[in-house]
Amino acid sequence: MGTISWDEFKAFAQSFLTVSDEINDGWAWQGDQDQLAGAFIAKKIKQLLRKQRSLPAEDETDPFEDTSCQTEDNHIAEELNGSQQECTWEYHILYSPSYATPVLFFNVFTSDGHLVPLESLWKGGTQGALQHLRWEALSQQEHPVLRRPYYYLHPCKTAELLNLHQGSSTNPIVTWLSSMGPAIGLHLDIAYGHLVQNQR
Amino acid sequence: MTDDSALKYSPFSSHVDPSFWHKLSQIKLDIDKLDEKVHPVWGSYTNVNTVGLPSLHVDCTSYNSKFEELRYQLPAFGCQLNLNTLESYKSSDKTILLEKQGASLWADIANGSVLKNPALLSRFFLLTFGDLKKYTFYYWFAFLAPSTPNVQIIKPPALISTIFSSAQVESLQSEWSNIVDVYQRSYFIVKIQGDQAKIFPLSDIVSIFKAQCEEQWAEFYLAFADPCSSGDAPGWPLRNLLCVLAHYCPHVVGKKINVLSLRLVLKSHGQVNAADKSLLMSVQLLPHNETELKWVGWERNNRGKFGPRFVDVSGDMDPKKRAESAVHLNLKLMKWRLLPEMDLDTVQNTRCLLMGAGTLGCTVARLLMGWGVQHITFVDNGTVSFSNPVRQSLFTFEDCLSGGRPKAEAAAEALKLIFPGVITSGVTLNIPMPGHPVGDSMLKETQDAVATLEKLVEDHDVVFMLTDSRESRWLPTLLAGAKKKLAMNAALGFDTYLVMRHGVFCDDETPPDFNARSIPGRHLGCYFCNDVTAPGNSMADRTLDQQCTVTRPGVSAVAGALVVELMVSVLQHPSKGDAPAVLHKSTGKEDQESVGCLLGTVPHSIRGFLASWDQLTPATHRFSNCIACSEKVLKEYASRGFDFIRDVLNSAVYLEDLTGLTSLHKETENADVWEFSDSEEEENNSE
Ligand SMILES: [Zn+2]
Repeated sequence: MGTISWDEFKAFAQSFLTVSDEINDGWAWQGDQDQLAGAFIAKKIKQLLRKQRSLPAEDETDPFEDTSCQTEDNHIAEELNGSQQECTWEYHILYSPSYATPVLFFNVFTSDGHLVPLESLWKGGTQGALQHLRWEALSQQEHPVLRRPYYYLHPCKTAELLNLHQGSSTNPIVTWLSSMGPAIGLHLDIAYGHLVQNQR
Repeated sequence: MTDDSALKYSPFSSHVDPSFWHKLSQIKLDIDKLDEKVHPVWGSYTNVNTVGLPSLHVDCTSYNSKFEELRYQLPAFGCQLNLNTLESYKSSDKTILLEKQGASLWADIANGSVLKNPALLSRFFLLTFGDLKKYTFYYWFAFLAPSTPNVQIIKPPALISTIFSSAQVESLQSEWSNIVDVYQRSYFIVKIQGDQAKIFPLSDIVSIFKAQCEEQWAEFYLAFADPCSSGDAPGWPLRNLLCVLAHYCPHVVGKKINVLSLRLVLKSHGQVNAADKSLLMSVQLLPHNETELKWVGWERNNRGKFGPRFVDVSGDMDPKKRAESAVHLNLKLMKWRLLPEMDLDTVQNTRCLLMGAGTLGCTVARLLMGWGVQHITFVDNGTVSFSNPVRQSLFTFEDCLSGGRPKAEAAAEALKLIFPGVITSGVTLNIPMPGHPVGDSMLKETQDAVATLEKLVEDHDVVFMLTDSRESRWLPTLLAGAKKKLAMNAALGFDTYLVMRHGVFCDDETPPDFNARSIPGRHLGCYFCNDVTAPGNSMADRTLDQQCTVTRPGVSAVAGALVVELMVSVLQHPSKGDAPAVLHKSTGKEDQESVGCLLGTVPHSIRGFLASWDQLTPATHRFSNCIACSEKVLKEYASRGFDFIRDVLNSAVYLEDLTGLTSLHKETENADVWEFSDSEEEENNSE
């Protein structure tokens, strides 16, 4: 037990999105919902990092600098966050047909579209939560829908976890995400709580 | 010109989603090919819940014909020019390119298009060059804006709540949210009437600002969705909006204009109005000459210079690099989670020489790759035969055709197919064997073979002996011993196996302590130490039965796995090849732990018996009369080199005389015969 069907997944995800829309949490469907496991819900979070060595090094020399483009323009306000590097965390909740559970894919990338290796995030301690991540469940794999590399938390433990909460949970996506999410910086708003409690 | 009252704008900063590079590569390879095409591309930005710099995003949907409408995302119209070469990138005239884009934006302003579709004012240009073989991109965004009109601040930006009532602010937010057409959401006009905020489309600009007297538009605000989240400076879009005003209502120049920058913070448990962070200000346009309009907006790169940005996404896109990082990530996860002290680098940088590319060689090579070993060389003299592929995991039926491919070469090629990051090669070579006399005709070839093997052993860190005859292990054992390399041995019987590490000698003269509970690596024996017969031509002596004997198919997989794991345990021990082996298993657990490594004990040898499913881990001392590793033999090789080897090849008895084994020779029967073969070809020396 602890498993759900694709249709159930879609229904649970939809009620999850309803709450997200109410609180402007930013989750949205992507992909083709008519196809088994062909759609997922996604969210992006922008995060400011202090510049770090572990992040992609900047070019030391700049043979391309083009001063001719520097038309006198004194209408540019000074950047407030110039010393900060921005990272985007992208979270996808998919359905795993083989495990019949939700599965979490994620990536972290800088503003030039370069994926940040997990190791450097881990070392930098930018996401403190990463340190107590259940490493055994983490791996990198091609995204089943997008066909690009993503990190993902292996669903091998998910059914077990959902089984534990069965009866108390009316939306397994919420139960599971509130347990797995914090490890990768994804904290659910308390507003989602009513999705798992309203049966009482 | 730079006085405090001059209005300044927060520039956009570009954000590229990884999917944009994937899509760009695909379009270049499949559609554009060698054309240097200009593509219309969508950008998106938002004035809702923004964090950090005001950013303009592109991703894979940028190439869609229709703008991908996501909640609160506003469209920006872009043009991308993708150049073919770095040279054309360097030599392209950026000023002319920008002027051309500017002319197009100006046309949209002048012909009224922007009044019907205000989103056309959010405009960018993107110049790219991608090296699709290296997965690197140069890219440069320009967020188009006219250099004039200059604008003076009359009333500095203030939070909306200091001027509007909270009812008005609330009304503003809900009115704005009710705008259905996404293209009308970025630029508009706001009027305050009582408690209400009313929104007018930009197309009303002429009728609203046609009055000659500023009092008549005092209740109106020229408004825009501001991608900037903090600070007093309004975002970049205002620049183009003021230019539109100057064009359509030139008489407003010098008069007071109210401006509203709409910034929304939508939070689940917010007590405040979502639009509370919005700004109000009053400005005054200075006269300018439209015919002399210049265009600006090139983005500074990460170092604050006017130049392209560079990104290397090979780690994300190059399949070979992805394979490498995935393999290493798997190992790192094991390290992080289970064995933080694990020294993966040593394992991965260990260069492994595999004598034999048969069942054992194939299994060992695959498992070494599993540990991330990057450097694997095969030595084998055989060709792939039809019986091989089912047992030898690196070969397929195809390899057997036309007489069969050389095994060493085929195995190396198979490794590269499995994992292109591996550094591997195959050397086809007959390993010279004691008791296999070298005639004059073979002298040169044998000499070359010995020289090649010497060089190979020199160039590797670990020598694996995985051949199917005892004799073929003699020379590699001697060479590994002489060059102080770690030698790993695996040999198979029908349902038995022997896996062992040879002692790694050092110049330490301390005699072994035969009463100690463990034996340091330097005093451990080799494969031949327990044998009291010199290797003769056992192939000739074998009965047909023995030559054709096959092993149980699983035996080689078990032994191959153990020999790799034993090597890894040796490498994880702080003393490496000198790691002590516990003499008796009965020794206390503490003893075992005190001499082991983080993976556990490091035995000398492992003997397994499938019939009884037993496994033993005996350790034995180096035998002072050993025909392969004793001091006498090593010294003889050191002083006479190939001449010594030739004497051994020509006569096995020579070794027995040298080491003093002759006297022992006939007294003992060697009960253990480990040299069974699963290959039917006699000349095929791999197991
Ligand atoms: Zn020996």
